[in-house]
Amino acid sequence: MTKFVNRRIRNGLITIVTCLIILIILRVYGTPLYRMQIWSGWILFGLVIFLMLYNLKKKLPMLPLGSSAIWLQFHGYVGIISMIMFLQHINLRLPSGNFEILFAILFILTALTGVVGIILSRVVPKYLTRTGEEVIFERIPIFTLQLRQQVEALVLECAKETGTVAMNDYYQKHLAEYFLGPRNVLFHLIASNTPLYLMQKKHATFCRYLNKKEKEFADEILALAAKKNDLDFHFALQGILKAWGFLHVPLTYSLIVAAVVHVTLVYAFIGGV
Amino acid sequence: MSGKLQKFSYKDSPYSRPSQKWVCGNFRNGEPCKIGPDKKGNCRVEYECTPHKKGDRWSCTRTTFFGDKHICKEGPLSDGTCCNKITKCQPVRSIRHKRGLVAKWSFSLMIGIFAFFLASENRAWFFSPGELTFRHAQNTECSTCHIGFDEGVVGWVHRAISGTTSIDNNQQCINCHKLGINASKPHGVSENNLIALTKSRHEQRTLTETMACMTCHIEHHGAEFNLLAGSSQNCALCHESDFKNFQKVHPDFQGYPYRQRTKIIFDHAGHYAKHFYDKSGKKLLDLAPEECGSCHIVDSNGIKMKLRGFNETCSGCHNEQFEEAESFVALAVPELNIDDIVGNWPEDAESQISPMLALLLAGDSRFINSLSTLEEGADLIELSPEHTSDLAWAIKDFLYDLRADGREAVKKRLIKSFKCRVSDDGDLIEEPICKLTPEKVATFLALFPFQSVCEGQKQWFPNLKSEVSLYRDFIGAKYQRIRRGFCGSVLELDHADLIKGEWTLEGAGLEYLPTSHGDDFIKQLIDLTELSFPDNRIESLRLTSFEDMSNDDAPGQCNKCHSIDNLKMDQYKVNWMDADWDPERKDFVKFTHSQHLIHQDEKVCGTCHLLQEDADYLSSYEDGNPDTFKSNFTTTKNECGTCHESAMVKDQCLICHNYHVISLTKGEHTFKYKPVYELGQLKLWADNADYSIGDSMTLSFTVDKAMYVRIVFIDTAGRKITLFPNENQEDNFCRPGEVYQIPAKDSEQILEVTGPKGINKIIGVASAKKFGPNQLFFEKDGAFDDSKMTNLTIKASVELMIH
Repeated sequence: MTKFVNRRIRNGLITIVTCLIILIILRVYGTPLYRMQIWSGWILFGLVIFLMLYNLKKKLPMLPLGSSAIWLQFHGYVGIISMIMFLQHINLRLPSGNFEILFAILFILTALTGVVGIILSRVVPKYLTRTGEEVIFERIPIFTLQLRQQVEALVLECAKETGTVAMNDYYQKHLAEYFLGPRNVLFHLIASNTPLYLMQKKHATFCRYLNKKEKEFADEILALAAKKNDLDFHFALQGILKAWGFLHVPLTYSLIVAAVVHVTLVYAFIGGV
Repeated sequence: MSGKLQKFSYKDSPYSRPSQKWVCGNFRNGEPCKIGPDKKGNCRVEYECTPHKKGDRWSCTRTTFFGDKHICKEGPLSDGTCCNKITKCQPVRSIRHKRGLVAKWSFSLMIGIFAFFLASENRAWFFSPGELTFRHAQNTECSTCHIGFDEGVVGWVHRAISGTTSIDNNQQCINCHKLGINASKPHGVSENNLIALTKSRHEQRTLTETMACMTCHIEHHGAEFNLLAGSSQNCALCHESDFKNFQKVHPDFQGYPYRQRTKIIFDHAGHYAKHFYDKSGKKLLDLAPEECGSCHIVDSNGIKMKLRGFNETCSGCHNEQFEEAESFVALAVPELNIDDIVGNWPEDAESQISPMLALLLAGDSRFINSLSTLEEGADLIELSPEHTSDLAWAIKDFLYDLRADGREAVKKRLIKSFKCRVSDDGDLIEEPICKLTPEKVATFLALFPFQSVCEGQKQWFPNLKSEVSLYRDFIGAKYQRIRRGFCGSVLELDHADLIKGEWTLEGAGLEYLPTSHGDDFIKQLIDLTELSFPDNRIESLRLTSFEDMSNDDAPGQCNKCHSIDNLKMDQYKVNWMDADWDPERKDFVKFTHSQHLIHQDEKVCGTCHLLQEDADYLSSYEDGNPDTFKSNFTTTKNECGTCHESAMVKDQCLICHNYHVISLTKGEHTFKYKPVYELGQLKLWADNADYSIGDSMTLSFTVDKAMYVRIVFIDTAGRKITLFPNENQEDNFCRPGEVYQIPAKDSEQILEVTGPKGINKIIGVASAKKFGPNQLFFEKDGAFDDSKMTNLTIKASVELMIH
């Protein structure tokens, strides 16, 4: 087994054991007399605060608090524990009050986006590394422009050398819009190569009417179009990685607000342990 | 055309900080500037370079990021500005900054939503954690159950921070659920009761702390949620059996099914063996019951098994005793050694004081004074002439009043006999000192034989009207004249249909013959004679009457089957009903018979109620103590365990046990246990009883078990000074076997008496639990306010006279 698998098994076992210990403690002392609901609530609140600290840690990279990778590991496994604690806290029963429902929905959405994030962070990089080259997301527009400029240079050179405007017409009609920016995002999100296939098919049809010189230019343009397709793929997948954070982080902040209100209401109207 | 788009050398790939808030607006076009916006999001580019002046010439300082070459062809202008001007852009936020902004907005939005609802009138609707059970559906105001709800948001936060406990909300529950002063204690019973119960049940642990109602009764879980659902785990906190299931862990039934003997005396084993069936199971009597259900039936609540009643059960065989019953003298003129002063007296008067006469004259001082002069067992003819005269006039006065006032006279006499009071309307005032009830009075009047008494009076005292008139004129008493047609007017007062027996005028007395079961006259006569008279000088007379009415040879032989409880010395209670079960009374054990009889064979009773043929059942009634019981039946938990196991029927504690054992209207009832008080004892004494101001005093005390002790001095003005613990004796945890002194034995300090003069008190309180001075409450006179100190029951005090 690889080191990664070993680590995952080890961490998974630690998570399971931790959950079992907590659940056994709650089971053994789990009577209304000991107000375990309050205890499980505080444990859950602590776990959520710890999970939120990961975001803070990333903003303070200068502090010697361990690597972000280790924090991410903890973030994932503590997140699983917090989900189990949540189920324990609500006694596997959906709340019925409006605020409680909102609070529960916030937690569930935060947890779900967290799970989605973990899955994306595990799956997407594999696709990215085997498709095209490694690019920085923020620079994709620059590379798109570079590709567009290269294609347009080829089209002009083709017209100059062959004296025909067929390539120019073809580019204007079928490729100019494609090279303007990221395209076919939805296809790329499902790892579909349909757009590229259609483009290649169209290109093959077009090439039948070209002479040898024009065909050489056309092939170079097709290669650049394929490169643009890879760039679009990176844009879509890296984009989803970025967009996921737009759900998870704001939901976490909302969750914290709701949790503080919840704790205040509990202590105001039910009282402490 | 090939080559990588993304280059990572520092020359080809300028570093972009991911945490920067703003990026160049041209980034989206793929043509970002190399400088980027400032921190506030302003574009700060103007030219591709800032030319450098070397001597009198300006030279280009452009980096290769702006072009293929380091230096531009054109070079700086003559005034030193760069010739390549850059078009300004509108910087945009970085992705990370956008995400942070969304997070902040969502954070603010959530606060806004909560603030909106907190400020609105719908806050209860929004923040309520769920629907109430249908039992509490009428509680539309949160403040009905939650203290502080009306204090507003600031109040809520204050309560949350200041440590409000769930127990604080108990009062809100108790406002409606009248569970007594100990409602917050475990089981809702007093600490003393709880400790005694714990010991009597051999439990290991007594939890005496207050408990919140919401510990077990969890609300806001919907209309159909069972508020009474409890877990066996909760019980196991105090009842330290590890309750996994009934069959394995529950203790066997001890003394069950009955802690108290049956009220109707019926020897099941004796009847079965002697009268119903022989050993082979053959019927000895045609009327023998076929099954338990022949005599027993589930009550309307489905809980208890009640008797079907005499006519459906016993009458088949026992009607004979009524057919053969003899009459008895209920009201008679007693035999007296009479003289001429009192006028006419029936010559055939030969009885002693009859029960009804005793009941009606017990409030007459002449009657009491006369009888009290007699020695026990002495005859009435032995009375002195003076007392004989008093007794005779008392009887005549009564009969005269009866003729004059009818019903009112009898009512007044009865009420006066028990020293009860009446309201201005003439109604009986119910108060603890009065043992009569309006029902008892009404029943007595309804069954009183007015007509027979009237007829008797005519025979016994034909000149009663003139005799009593003369007597009353002589003594100067005011009285009402007898109207004509007296007997005719009282005749209508007779309720002949209520009287099952027969009245007969025999000589100087009225005899009553009970003819059937359930004779109300006999019953009410016994009910009244079982009540002790307020004046104990005639108690022996009352006891004799009761004895005459309740012995085995008494008319009707009621007490052959209806047991008599001897509650206190010479105080009795006849059990007319098979059970005086109070539906409101809750005991620790509950059992619903109807649920266990569904789909069962009628003979299923014998499965649990195992007949004990050799049990000396009848001996249960020898000492009059209702707690003495040798049951005809026994049972074991094994039968319960066949169904009550986890896999079949629930075996939770609360299936068969009640937690709250308090009646909602009658409060805490008396438990059937023999309390063993081992609370400990505090002995406190001073070295003298009298002191003068300036004297030194030494106080001493001991405890018989380890306890915390506080000693307080209370002067005549009510001021309180804590003497113990004190500066030199800070530890107030005291142990047995040691005499503690104030001041301490080896101390050089002196406890000086300073006054004020008068009787001053020194009081001590001890408890096994630590307690503070704020837990001591006093009445105005310096005595403890026991109602507020239910947890502190071990006390001692000494009084000192200071001169």
